[in-house]
Amino acid sequence: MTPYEILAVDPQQADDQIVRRAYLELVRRYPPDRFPDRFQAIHAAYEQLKDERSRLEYYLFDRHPGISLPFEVLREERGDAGEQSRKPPDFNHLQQYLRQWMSR
Amino acid sequence: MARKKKKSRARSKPPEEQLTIEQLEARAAENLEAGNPRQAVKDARKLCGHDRERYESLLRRAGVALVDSLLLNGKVSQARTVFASLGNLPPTPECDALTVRLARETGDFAAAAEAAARLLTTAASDDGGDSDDRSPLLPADVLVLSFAEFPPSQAAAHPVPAAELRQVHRALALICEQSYDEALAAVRGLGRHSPFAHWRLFVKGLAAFYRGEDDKARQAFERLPEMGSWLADAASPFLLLLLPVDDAHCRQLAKDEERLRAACRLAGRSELAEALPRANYLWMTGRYRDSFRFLRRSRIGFPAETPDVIGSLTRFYYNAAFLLEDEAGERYVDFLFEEAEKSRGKNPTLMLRGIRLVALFSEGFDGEEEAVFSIWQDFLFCYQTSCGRNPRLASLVYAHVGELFARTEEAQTGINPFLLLGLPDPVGEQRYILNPEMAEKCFQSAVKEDEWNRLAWLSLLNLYDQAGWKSKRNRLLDEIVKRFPDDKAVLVRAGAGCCDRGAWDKGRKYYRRALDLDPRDRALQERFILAVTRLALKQAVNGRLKRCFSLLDEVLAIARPEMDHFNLGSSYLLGRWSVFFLLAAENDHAWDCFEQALKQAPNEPKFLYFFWLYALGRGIDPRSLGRLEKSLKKMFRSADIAAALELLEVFEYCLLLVEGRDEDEGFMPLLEKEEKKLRRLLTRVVRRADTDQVVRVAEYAVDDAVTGRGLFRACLRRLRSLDSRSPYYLFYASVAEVAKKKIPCNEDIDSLRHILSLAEETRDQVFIARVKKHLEQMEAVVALVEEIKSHGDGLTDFNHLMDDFVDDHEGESDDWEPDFPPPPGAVQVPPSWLDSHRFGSGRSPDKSDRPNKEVPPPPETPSLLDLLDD
Repeated sequence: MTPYEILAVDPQQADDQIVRRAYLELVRRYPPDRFPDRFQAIHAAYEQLKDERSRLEYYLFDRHPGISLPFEVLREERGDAGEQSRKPPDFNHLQQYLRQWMSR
Repeated sequence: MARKKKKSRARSKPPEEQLTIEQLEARAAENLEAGNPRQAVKDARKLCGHDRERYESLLRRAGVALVDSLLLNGKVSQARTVFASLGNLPPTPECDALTVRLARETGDFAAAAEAAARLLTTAASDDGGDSDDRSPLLPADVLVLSFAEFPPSQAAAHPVPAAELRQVHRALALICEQSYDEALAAVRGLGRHSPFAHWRLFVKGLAAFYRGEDDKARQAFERLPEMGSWLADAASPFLLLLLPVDDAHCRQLAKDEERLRAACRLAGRSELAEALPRANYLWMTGRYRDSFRFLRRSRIGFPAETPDVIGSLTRFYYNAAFLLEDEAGERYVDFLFEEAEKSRGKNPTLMLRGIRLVALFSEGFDGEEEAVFSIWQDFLFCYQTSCGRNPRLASLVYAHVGELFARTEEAQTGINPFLLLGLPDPVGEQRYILNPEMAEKCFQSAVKEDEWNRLAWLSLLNLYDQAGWKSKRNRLLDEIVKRFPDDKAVLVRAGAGCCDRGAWDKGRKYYRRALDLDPRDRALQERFILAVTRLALKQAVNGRLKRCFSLLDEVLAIARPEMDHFNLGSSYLLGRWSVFFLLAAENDHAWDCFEQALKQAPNEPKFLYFFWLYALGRGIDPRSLGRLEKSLKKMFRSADIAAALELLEVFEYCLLLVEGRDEDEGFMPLLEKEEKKLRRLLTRVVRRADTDQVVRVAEYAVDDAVTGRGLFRACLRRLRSLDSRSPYYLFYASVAEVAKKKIPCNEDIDSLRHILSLAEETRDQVFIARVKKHLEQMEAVVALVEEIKSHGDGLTDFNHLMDDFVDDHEGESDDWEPDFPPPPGAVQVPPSWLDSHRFGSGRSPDKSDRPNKEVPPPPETPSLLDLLDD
């Protein structure tokens, strides 16, 4: 997961103000006392993008893959979407899903 | 021949028509028994032709067995046809079980609801045989998946399962409506022994998953396999999103593309459902390039610098090269570079990511710096072409490459047995800068591109420092200070630079400015005080007393009267000034200062001893301190172990002051004399020391193990008398033993490992670290000895090795050259450590081991020797 994804900031439009605003918004939503892991990830992302130099350094010299296998991208929650990316299916889809796995 | 055989076999068997009814009946039963249901069905059909009423049950039994066998072999459609041809079967448990199993395979759950309900109620009345066909789990699942009411024919007789089925359906519907609490409430009534109990767990997992309570969800889903339900399979895509990625079960699940496809949809990433599972599988099987290609062709917009999963995948595919093993990594990077080359002018992400990766990857190879430089230049060109000029980005790139060229490397000096044995190395570590000219060029380009790139300026300054290019360094410092007048780090560097060249006053001013920016920085306070101290010494020697007084006021404004600290404590500073006034022959002022210091000293004996040593070091005639000498003699006579350790602390601090000074100044012999006195005292008092105190003294005297002096032996005796089985005694005894033998062996290593295990029980972290370090050194030496044994003429080579080493480097100091000179253009870093290891023979080689934590300056602080060295 990239720091841009964590903060839900478009790399093309990122500037200090946008990054700061996104960071504060997320910190408000995920305070460190209730979401320590999430907060840590958000803070680390902010540190990587907080000013132009950091953003350029990230762009140029970042060597961390972020994940160890491609499918792990599914496991990360986006900064803005958060829980929204996990929405239960409608009842028909759930029926289909269960029947599909039953007859597998 | 074959025909003949066939004929003969045909002759040996009676024709079908000739079999009697009894024979047919027996054969059908035999086939049914032997697990050959197809033949049994054939025979039963013939028998039905004779007497349908009598043999219909046999036909059905055979048919049921055939369907069962076909289902087991995965021939679902054939099983379905045979089952249909059997007509209306009586509702026996076997037939119901078959109906349910067929429903599971065909997905026609509604048709099997009646049979499932019968099975469920039968199983419940049989008191839950939960194996094979009697298990109520499958019928319960079929009933749930029929998504219909409990069959009315049985609902009245069995109201409990009917109600439970309704609860499960209701809970699933509520999950879809995001009413998780209500869903959990709906299944709360399902008991542990209910045939629907596993559905309660599944609903619990679903609710937790969609709420984002991953731990709870994982725990619920992980319990499903224990219950023996197929629901565990339905929960596996959820587990893929929940289990730790290094979990073996998770990795196994991730290889199944269908599961992963389902996981994509569950995670709300349906757009990846077609591409990601295959790409993931290819990656997991080591087909990295195919995996990349597959994603690229799958029209999901990969690669891209976007703040979404595609961005994450892009980051992964370009940076994962650093995780791959050497050869695979190189092949993968080559492939991405080819892709980058192909996409020049077409796809900036592919091109820039590819070139960037090659540059970063090449940095891992020695001697590739020039190549790396040209790749980065290519990157900058491509960036400019596709995204426009960006001077800040260019500045960062140049500074980065500059750091590569400015790396210092250890000169190859061959085997150094002194270092391996942990002894003071008479030559010191030799380092050289890889390519200072190129580094300078890069840093200059960096600051030219972006003149506010402060770190690039400081890197250039570091380079000049390390290369010893002093005039360039000084000019640059002035320029940097003008450019960044309010930058603490810059001011500190400027101050250090000035002090380094003896411009104490200028250095003091820079430190003052830095202190104004951050008055509470303790390391900076020490730097400032030390600069002022040196300046005051100079002023005193030149007879400028007024200035000397004003400088004293400056340091006292920062000093801490209550602190027993050699650099920050007021008493120690006043003591220094007292010595300065003695040097200026201003005895009245000197003794005034001394009295003040004595009044403020938190620890009088320590202060007195410090003053004595400092005065001697600064060349004060000991006879002029006669009264003090008498008090010290008295102090030495009456000192106990605690007092002796304090004196040792003072002495070690003064040793730090001595380092770097030339022997002909007369300072060293005086200190050697003092050391002898101190050793005598320690040898006397260590007999009454506790373990911690003996260990402290033993650490100071550890070199005696090699030189055979008495203090270390006294420590060993005391440790043995305290506890001869303690790891402390065993450790230092082992050190002495190895030093006696000169060459350690494998038995010594084993013994040290045993001591380490004992040390770990003490939980004395400092001691554990000490034993570990020693063990590592011994292992290195033993490995070296083994190597010599295997290659050379035997162990005698090692004995000669140290002698040769000393002979080779005898008399060398600054003009020392390594056996293999550094590459052309390399500048050797001046060995600042060199002279510091020439004093005496009874000193510990590693100052960091010593317990006096206040003396060593912080990393960015210039060492005391730098400041106090003439």
